[in-house]
Amino acid sequence: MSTALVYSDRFFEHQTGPGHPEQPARLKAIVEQLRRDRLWDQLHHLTFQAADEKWPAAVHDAAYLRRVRESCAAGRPFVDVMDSAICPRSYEIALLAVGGVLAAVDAVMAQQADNAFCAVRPPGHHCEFDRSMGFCLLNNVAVAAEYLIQHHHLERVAIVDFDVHHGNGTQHLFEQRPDVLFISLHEHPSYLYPGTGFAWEHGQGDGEGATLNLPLPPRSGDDDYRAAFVRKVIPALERFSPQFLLVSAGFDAAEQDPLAHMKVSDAGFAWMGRRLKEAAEELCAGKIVSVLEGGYNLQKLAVGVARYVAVMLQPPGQDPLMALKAGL
Amino acid sequence: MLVRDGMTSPVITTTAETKLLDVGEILAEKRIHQLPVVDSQGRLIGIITDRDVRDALAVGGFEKRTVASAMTADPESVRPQDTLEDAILLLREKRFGALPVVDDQQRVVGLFARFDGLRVLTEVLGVDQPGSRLDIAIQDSAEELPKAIAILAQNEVQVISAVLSRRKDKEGRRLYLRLKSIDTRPLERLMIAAGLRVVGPTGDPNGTDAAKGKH
Repeated sequence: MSTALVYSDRFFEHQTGPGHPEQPARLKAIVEQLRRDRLWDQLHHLTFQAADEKWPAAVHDAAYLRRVRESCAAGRPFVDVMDSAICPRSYEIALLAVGGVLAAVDAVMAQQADNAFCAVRPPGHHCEFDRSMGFCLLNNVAVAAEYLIQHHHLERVAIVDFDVHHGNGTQHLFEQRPDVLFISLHEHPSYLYPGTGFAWEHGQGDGEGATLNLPLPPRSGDDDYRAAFVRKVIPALERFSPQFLLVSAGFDAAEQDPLAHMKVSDAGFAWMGRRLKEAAEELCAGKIVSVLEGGYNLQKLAVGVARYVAVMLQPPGQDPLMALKAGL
Repeated sequence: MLVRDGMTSPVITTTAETKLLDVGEILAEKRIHQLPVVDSQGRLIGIITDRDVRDALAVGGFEKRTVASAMTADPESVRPQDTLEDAILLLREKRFGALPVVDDQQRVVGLFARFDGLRVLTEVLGVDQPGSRLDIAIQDSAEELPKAIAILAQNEVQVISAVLSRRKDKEGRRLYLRLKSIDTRPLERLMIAAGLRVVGPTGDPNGTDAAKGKH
């Protein structure tokens, strides 16, 4: 059993300025925790390069990509919104993050790894077709889903997004398509950025039913997430029967995250990871790639990721029925 | 804002001589609930609703009946230059589904429906714009409002909308801010430092732990 890790010190080169919550120290904390928990050496460290621009261009507007590239080159402080702080190297590093996620997808498809975790930044799930939002420059997970369809010729890819914020960018990129199932659990849009992801948003046209929003009230915790998984997430995955599972893994639903109001524990993140891994094993030969999104309390982020990665490293469950019972 | 800023225009109309059967089909096909009725010059003479058509269907001779026999004649209307308050309050007061909008010659130029009112309200509040919410309790508006506005003017975060509630509870009125950022803490901190009470969005008393610098 092997779990691939996508990580590079170069991700520090995306500098967002002092006081910015999406800071290089997030990854530093994760790496230290993985070492401390002796997980670092168990992981299969992937080598990867910046993605060919044609892959981000498969989901993003060409003019938007040009705008990000030129804004970085011109030394502008942010792109589109003040939240999305940039430095001269940010575009390059954003392409590197995408490249890492695509390398993880390739490794899992080629069975060089059973699954993968991508400790990348900048994050991606708020990024829309043609504009940046909420710290996100390129929609890493959306590019990966499109890559699985176009390059690996898959027909059904599922994305589960448990970042505390609604994955608006990912939803909007796929909401009219039946081949990508998008499931987002998040703090209710009336209480938290970005203010989208109401339960009544469930896809459009051919994509009707292939978007599932599960808004949860502020202060929701492990039990609430567990209930949503058991009642909604897992049944939706089973109905869709994906060939690959991508996870937008944000750890900002943690208690004491500075940007949100939820109460998920480290064990809660581990439980979600286990349940998603089991679903992947049951439905798509264990093919699951998780990609870091948010998480701004450094300690909670680091421990949450470590617990989650530890779950990914575990051998597959022997008895799916027992695993299912454990979930209930 | 004026009625012309929120009305639907152009709008489908019908005539008094049209068969109810045809009107019923148009309403069903376009999924709308009413049509203004106009004369040969396009002037408003009535309004016919899906309810009128349904009621007419219940009595005999429906196939032969025309709009004239079932419409409300000389309905209330508004003009494009009337204010949104004119339209919204009239809709609410009379429980109308929609108001025809007419020019000074009584020609129909649009329709202002309940849905248009909702749309305008949504836009004014900015709830269709990506952003975060921050609620400030305002006990003494003369003292606290200028403080809050001064902080907003520092441009730490772009403001999508700011609404002061009319209703009051034991914590006072609310200043509901919608902010164009994922991170409201910089503004929260300034508000708290100025002695203002941040109570939301989640109802935390005295702001979130985050804003108080606990982590």
